[in-house]
Amino acid sequence: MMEKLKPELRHLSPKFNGCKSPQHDSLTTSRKSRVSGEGGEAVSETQENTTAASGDTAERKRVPGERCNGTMVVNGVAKETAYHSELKKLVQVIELARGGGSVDIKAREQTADINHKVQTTELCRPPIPLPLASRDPLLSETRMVQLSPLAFPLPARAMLYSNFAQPLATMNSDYGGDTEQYGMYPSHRIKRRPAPYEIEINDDNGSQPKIVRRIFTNSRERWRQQNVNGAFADLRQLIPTHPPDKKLSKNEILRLAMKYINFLAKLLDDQEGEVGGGNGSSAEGAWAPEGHEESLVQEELLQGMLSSSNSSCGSLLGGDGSPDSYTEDQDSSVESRTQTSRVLLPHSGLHMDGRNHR
Amino acid sequence: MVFDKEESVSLVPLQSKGKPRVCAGCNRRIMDRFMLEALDRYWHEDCLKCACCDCRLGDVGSTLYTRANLILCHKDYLRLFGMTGNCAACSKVIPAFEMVMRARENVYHLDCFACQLCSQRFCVGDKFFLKNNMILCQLDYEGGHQNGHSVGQAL
Repeated sequence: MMEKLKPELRHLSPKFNGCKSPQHDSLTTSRKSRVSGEGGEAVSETQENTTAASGDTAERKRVPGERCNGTMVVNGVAKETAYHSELKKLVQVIELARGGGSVDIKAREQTADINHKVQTTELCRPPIPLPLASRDPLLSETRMVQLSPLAFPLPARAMLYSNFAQPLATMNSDYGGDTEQYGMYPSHRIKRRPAPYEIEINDDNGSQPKIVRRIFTNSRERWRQQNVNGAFADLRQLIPTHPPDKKLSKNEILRLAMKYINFLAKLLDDQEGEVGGGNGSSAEGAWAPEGHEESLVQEELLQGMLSSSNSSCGSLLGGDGSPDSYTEDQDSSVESRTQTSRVLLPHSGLHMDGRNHR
Repeated sequence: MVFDKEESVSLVPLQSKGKPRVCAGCNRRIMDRFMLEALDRYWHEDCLKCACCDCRLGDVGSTLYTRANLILCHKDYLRLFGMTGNCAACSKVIPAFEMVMRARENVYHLDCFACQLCSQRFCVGDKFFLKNNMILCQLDYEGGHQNGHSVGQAL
């Protein structure tokens, strides 16, 4: 059985080539009948997939019965999301119906906090494998009779475990290899899709554990993603932008966070230097030129700050008026100033430039 | 000396006959139709930006704040240099730029200002009561019919 399964598995995943055994056809037909027998829903899905699968490779055609899954695999997220909401609801019903342990409650709290923010991202994630939907009536443990739409996705790993504890015990170690094989590629969830309906063909009783495991990993991945998205959302709230509710990508969130942190650090350094310079026995002479050049210094600082706004880190340069910095940074140039370096401009240099312009 | 004051920002049209102004931000001549005047300087509209959030100060409002040689908008100035306190209800820090509710000496987050028993926020004009430093709505306060220490009115 495993021999048949594996080539089929590879066959279905977009990244694998080959699978030419005629056994597939027989398997396909048996699966096909099963799929069609499971309900109109599955058939319609298959048909939908079929139309989309017309452009698929020849390998796909060999397993028409699996087209529902294979197509979804190939067509990617766009196709999958069409079923995702249904599948998600179904799976969530399972999770919810099983009652919550402490883990579940915790997860629910976590997800509830970030619900309104990551709701859409949930939908965009790879969906639960299709066979689950078609196989629902067959699974005794699922008992997905009520299809109440669920607002929030639940990781509910504990629930899943409790749900399918029985089939888990009977899970065939042979089948474990298939899913484990693709456990290394959490991002390529498409590759794991073949597993569930692969089992379906071979063994009715053995299919449930594999599907269960797929649900586990799906939920776990979803929970992990929610965690990450929630963390990003929390970080986003701390970053000053204009307008405050501007949408930032994850990349932008990280970069702007770096920028802001450097800005605050520099500000602190400058303020500390300022206080220390004022209290310490700094050269009095340094203060003298500062007086009449202060306005110009400020202007130059602003110029430098604004002129470097095109850099990736943006214009987060601050400055301080301590005498020490004036004398220290005489030689630095405005353009070479980076975020982390001391801000003070060589006022003498820019002073002349300003005068020339004016 | 540290600047720490509000400044005005005004939008002025480019004078056709006057000498061309030089932007204090980029040191180039201002050829735009409008320019900003602030801190006794002239700026491109794009050049006068908050150092923190990068908003164009000409669009945001008519005042800019400057401190530690930074140009800041009102919100960021408070964010960086404002005095903050803790909410009397949740004991978490209140950022300086956020709207708060005050009751006697207590300060609350806008969201935290609700009856601490029934979690109902107040409408304008509602009466609220402070008992044992707790905020109560009228029902909860009178439900316990304990000695009321103070009566306030939600604004």
